[in-house]
Amino acid sequence: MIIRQIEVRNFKKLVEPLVIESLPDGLAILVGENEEGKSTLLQAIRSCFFDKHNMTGERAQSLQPYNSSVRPEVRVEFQLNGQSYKLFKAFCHKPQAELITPAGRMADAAAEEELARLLRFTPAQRVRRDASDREHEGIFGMFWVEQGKSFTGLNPTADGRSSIQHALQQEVGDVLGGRRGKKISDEVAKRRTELLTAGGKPRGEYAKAIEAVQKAKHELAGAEASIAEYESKLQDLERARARQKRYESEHAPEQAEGRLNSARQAATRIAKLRQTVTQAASALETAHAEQQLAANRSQQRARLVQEAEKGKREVEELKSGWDAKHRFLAEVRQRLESEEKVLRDKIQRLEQADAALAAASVAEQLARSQFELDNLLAQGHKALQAKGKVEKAREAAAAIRIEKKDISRLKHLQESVTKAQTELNALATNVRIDLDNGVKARIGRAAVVSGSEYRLMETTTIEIADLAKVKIMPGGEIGNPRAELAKAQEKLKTELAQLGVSGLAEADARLEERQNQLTEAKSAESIVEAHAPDGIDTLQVRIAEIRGELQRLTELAGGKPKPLKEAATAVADAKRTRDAAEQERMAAEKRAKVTSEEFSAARTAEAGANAGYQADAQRLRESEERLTNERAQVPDAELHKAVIAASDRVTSAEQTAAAANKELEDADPESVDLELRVAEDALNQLRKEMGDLAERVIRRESELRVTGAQGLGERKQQLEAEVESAKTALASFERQAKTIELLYSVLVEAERTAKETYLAPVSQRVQSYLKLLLPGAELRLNEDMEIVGLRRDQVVEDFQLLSLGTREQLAVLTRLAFADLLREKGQPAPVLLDDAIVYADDERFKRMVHILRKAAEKTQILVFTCHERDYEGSGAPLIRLADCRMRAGASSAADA
Amino acid sequence: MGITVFHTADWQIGKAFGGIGGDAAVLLRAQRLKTVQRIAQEATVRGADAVLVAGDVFETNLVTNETMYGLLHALEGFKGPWVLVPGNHDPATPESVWHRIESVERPENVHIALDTAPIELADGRLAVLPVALQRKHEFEDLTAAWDGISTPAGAVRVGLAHGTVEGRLPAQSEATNPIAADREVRARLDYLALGDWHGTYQISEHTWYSGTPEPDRFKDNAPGNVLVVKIAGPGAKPEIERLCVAAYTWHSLEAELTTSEDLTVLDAKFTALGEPFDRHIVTVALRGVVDLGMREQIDRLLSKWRGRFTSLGEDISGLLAQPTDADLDRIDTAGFVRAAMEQLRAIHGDPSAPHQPYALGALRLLYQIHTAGADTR
Repeated sequence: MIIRQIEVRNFKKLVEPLVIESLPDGLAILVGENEEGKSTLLQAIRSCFFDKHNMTGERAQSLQPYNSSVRPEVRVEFQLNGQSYKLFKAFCHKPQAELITPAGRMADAAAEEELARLLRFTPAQRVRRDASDREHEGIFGMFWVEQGKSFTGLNPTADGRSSIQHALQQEVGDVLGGRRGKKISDEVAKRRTELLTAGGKPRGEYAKAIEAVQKAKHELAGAEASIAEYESKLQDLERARARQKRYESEHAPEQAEGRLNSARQAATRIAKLRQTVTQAASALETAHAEQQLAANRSQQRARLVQEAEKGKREVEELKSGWDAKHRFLAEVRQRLESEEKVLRDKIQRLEQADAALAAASVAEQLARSQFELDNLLAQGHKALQAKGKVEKAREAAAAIRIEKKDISRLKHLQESVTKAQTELNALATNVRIDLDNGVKARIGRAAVVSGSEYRLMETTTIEIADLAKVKIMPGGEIGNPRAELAKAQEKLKTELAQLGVSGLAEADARLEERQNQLTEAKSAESIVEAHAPDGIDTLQVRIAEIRGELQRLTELAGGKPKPLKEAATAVADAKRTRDAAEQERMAAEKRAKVTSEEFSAARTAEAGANAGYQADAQRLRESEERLTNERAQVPDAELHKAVIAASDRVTSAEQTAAAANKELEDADPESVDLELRVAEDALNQLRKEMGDLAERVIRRESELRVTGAQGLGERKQQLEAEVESAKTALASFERQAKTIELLYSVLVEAERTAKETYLAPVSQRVQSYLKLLLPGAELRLNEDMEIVGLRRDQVVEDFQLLSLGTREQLAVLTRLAFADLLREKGQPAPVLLDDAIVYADDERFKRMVHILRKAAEKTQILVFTCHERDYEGSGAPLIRLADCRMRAGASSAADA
Repeated sequence: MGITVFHTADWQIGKAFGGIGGDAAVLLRAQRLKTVQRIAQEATVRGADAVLVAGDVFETNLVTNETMYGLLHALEGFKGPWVLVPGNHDPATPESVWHRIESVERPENVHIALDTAPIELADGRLAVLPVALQRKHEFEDLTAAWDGISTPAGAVRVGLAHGTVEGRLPAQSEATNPIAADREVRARLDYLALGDWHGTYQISEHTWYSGTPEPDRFKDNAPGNVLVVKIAGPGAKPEIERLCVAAYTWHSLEAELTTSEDLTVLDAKFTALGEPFDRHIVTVALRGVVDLGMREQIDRLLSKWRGRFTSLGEDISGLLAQPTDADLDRIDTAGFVRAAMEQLRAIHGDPSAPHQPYALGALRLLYQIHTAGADTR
């Protein structure tokens, strides 16, 4: 179908007539401002084709302009299969439908029926719900896209889908197999579910069959194990019985007992032999003891004899030793007595020398005291003299009152006077009076000699007789220095008077005299100090003491003091004499002491030697006595005979013992002992083993009886049968499962391949556009003609997750592909896009326009837009709605 | 006055029939006791002097007491003497089932031979020389002991043993438990009653295997009998009668299947086994190449007969099912299901494909789903 012309009037906002003429075969751009009625125009076209002319109610009312009750009219001229058709519909008031075909004109319902037949859509039985209801628009609902809806996808109508599917089947045949295929496929899936989980694991009866095999095998294994145990016990029992039988046939217990008896007899003989050996050994021991005893006695006698002889020699030696010591002691005693006499003499002489020395010492002390007294007396005299001089000088000094400070003060006063005098002199007025003859003058009472010069220092009146009185006042204020001078002079005069001197020089001389006297006193004091350092009084006390001492010594010495030197010499002589006596006494005493010690030692030695000698002599006597006694009892010869007899007895006993030992050794006692033990053990062992065997046989028999009655053999066979049967069942399930799995997978794969084949024609056509928009991408459709995804870079993206712009673009180009397919199958449909590419960026938009141009080479495409400039470069005719209204107005005016 | 003895063996009471499985196994197991009852009944009817059982009375020594008592009860039907000897299945090991019987209440008329001591019966007219296996496998010929055992001059000497007559059996199975081929001569026997071979088999005029009275396998060697042995007197030639006492017959069949006519033939073969069908234990080996439709028909036929026979087993290793275009067309001519079928057929035809063993099953399953769907449509 190709739309050639559209006329609209009183249709919603398109109240004024609108005529769009000469629509081309390919792409046309219908441009209108916002609100100018582009979308309304698309609605008008759809109403014209698909709404019943005689519909009523809200849906019909909605076609009228707002708040008015007029007659909406739409006229469309189109071409179909090369033929021209005119379709007119008017709604609400005097509703009308008209279809003019090459075959003739049809009106109302007939017109609408014919239209549905021509365009292969299923007309609505009732009024359509609303403008968005597409179910009765045939394939066109899919190609006529409202503003802002394109990104939602294709939303194919049932008719549209069926048309495309029909077209596809025409191209690729019945690859899907229809409902039958689906039914089989579902049944297979269902049967698979009975045996297998989604992941291919056994379930239901199949899983139970696996369990059953395991259970049966487990039970069988249990029965087999029990039988094996039974067999093992059976063998054990047979072995035990065989052994019992063997013991019996071999008379094993009797054999063992016989062996033990033989061993016991042999052991008894060995015991006897051992006893003999023991006895012989005991006899030998006794013989040895007796031999020892005889030898001991003989040796003891010999020892006694030796001891007696030795004792005799020793006693003689001790006696001569004692004699020598006794002689030496006497000798020392004599020497000691002589030396003690000498010592007594020396002591007497020393006592005499000591007395002489004491007398000389007293005499010397007396002389020394006299000498000291003499000296002290001389010193006292000199000290008293010097003391007199001190007193005299001090008196002289005290008489002079002028001191150093007085001199200073005088000097100061003298200087004040001098200073005042000087100042006065400086102020004095020199006056020369030259008197004329005769003229007399007088100053005060004194007359003036002419030519005399006067130095005036105070107001002086010169009285010139009869002539004048001249009052001269030097210096004006001269009165003060003069008074100062007088005052200073007065002070000096007073001071001198007080000091009793005439002037400063005298004062100086007097002060010097005073100093000299003080120096003299000091010098005399030194002399006193030298002679009586502790004072003169102390000196005098000492003199008194000395005098007392002198008195005492004089009485002691019984004579007058001798000269000191003489007395000292006498003392020294007495001392020397005494020292010599002391030396001699000490020497004598030392000698006596040495000799005394020697005497003590000699006395001790003598006593010791005597004691030793006496003791030994006693022992010797006792020893000789014992020997004598013993010999009286047993003579020496008898002892010797006894020794020889004992030795003979030992030799005999040794021979007896050796014979007994050899006999025992020859009998091999170890082997006999061992054999006895072995024979005993063997019998015990045999008895124990036979007991064990008997017990084991009974136990095993009992066990076998109990186990035997359990029917294990039967049970095993039944279980084997069960295992076999369970295995067979399982094998059947396994086979079924593998079979169904194979069938299922082959079916699924075949279905998938079929779908791919089925969609291939659409895919190819989509691809020819898609490569212009998104090179390398691949669109995924399902068999319901819905876009499900886009494959880019090996990744399939869900359609609903793509951007609005991409979804919109993919939806448009898929429609173009469908339109191509249907056109090729003889069902051409125009594509109407109301602002269908609004989310594209500039580059994509350019590509989309290019795609539209390409598609428009075979299909009519009407684009409604308010963006005129976007399509300026497309080369497609631009049809402005405003122009169309104007033309319609003009033509309707012309019509009118 | 001669003697009549029943010679039987290999009862194998307690056998489980694992290879058969299911309810049939239970029936077969129970039947063995019933067959013994039948023997007792026949022996009574025919006035037998004794029933000699040549070993393998029990399937195993380790049977339950219930099984043991079950047997004793079955023996009650014949009041004359029973002589039982142990075989390789139930040797006289210590505390074996025989000792258990001895330890409970062994009936007076039931003789259990645990050694080679002769048993005199029928008022001294019959001397039975038994031999008892002491273990599963004896390597010596225990019957040699008989050579030196004398019996009363007027008594018929009958040997009773379980084992293999050396070099005389059709398929020499076991080398153990040997019995010399000339034992009847050496031991001066009038008759040697043997057990172990499950079919009735004659070794010589005087030596027989009775076979098992109730068949227990598909081997076609004439089982299912007891031998009624009549001997006029010492040195007389024994007169043997085969008496069939079996309840079940075992059949091993074969069939070549190509067309649906072949199915009719097979159906007829089954029918020919005769009523009552529940007395048959059947196995059938199928061969041939068939399409899927035929394959399903075969299954239906087998199901039908499985419901009639006590047991029907099949060996289909020789049966090759080849899905044809027509098979596939019946399911679907186009669409992905058809594509899947082609794929499965390719796998089926490629022996090296990992899933090859299951491809045919998958196709058959598809076919069945399709058929079931068609049925419900």
